[in-house]
Amino acid sequence: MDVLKLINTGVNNLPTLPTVFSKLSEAIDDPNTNTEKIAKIISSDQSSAFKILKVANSPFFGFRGRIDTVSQAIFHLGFNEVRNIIFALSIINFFSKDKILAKFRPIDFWAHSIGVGIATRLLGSVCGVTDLEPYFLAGIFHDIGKLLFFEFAQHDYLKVLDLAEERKILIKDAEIEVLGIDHADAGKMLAERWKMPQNIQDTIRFHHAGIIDKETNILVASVHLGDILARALSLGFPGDNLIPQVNEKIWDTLKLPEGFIKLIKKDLQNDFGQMLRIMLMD
Amino acid sequence: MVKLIKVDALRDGMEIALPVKNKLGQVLLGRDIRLDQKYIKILKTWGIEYVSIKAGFEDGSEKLFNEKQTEEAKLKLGKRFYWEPRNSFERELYEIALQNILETELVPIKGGG
Repeated sequence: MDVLKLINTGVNNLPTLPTVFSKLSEAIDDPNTNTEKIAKIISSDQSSAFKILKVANSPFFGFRGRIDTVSQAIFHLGFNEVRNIIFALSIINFFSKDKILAKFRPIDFWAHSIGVGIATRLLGSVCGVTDLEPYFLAGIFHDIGKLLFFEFAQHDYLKVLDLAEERKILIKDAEIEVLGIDHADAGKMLAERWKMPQNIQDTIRFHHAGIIDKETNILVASVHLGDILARALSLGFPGDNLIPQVNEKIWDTLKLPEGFIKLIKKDLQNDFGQMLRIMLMD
Repeated sequence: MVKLIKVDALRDGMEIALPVKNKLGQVLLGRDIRLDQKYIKILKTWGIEYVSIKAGFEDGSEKLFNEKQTEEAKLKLGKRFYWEPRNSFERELYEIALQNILETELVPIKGGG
């Protein structure tokens, strides 16, 4: 069976998302919902409640140590950001962390993804985006397609990793050469299966280009640059250690202030260390 | 300031910022311990992946590396950053990547922090 079929079958056989997330999504989409209702659902899963409080109290979200209850976390972060964080945590726990392929470990994959999430949100905030809710999640999920290769095409993915290492090429190019499909297209299949929001689907599919079919988009551009920033600072490992060239068009889209990239280096590294502990280790 | 770094990137002289525990919750290394190869070996033996170190160790790192080390870092980065920066943002990107290699992969000529 070729890899595309393997991935297709695998995606179609994947179970639905964990109960707490599904219940939460239903409740948030309910026009009659309220904070109390949402807090009750989150609190029914102790691990989710514990992590939400930790995330909400991290300096990255700007409420250092002032949030004591799930209701307060919802109030400060908003329904959708809370849902996004629980979604991210559900997916991190959903996939096995034991399938180590050569030097590529799932924990390094997630560390890189979290690094991109942090950088993406930071870029969005500097660009003056008012609705920052999808930014962290879009960064975390941008490479989700790689997990499908980990899960359903391990043998072939080892060849991809070897090729990327041997020829010093980007993993996406090695994927195309060996598998005939890259993680952006594989990820899109998963995003559709799990009915992720359209903007998250777009970032998964277009993060390498930084634009959507010649159209500029701040979220996609932020994930594109966030990925490259995370690579430049070695935040996690995405499967190859290259720092690809930025699509020049995104500089016009993001209109960053001069000196910004040097300025955020320490913040990115510090936020990364803290979020890594909260999301992957604690 | 505390920074989480991989055990593979630990160097002699770095100071532990938060106690390092094993999976059973036992403390392997306490706060303020200045690392040497013996300690680093203990961490690797226990399969510890990340350790919080005092970032102050690195804060003055630009001054702690000599020209030879900077050249070494540039050589390393050249294998990863394979394109020519076209504007000031891309030059900044190059600079932070270079600084990161100096901070995490090379031994400073003298310890700080």
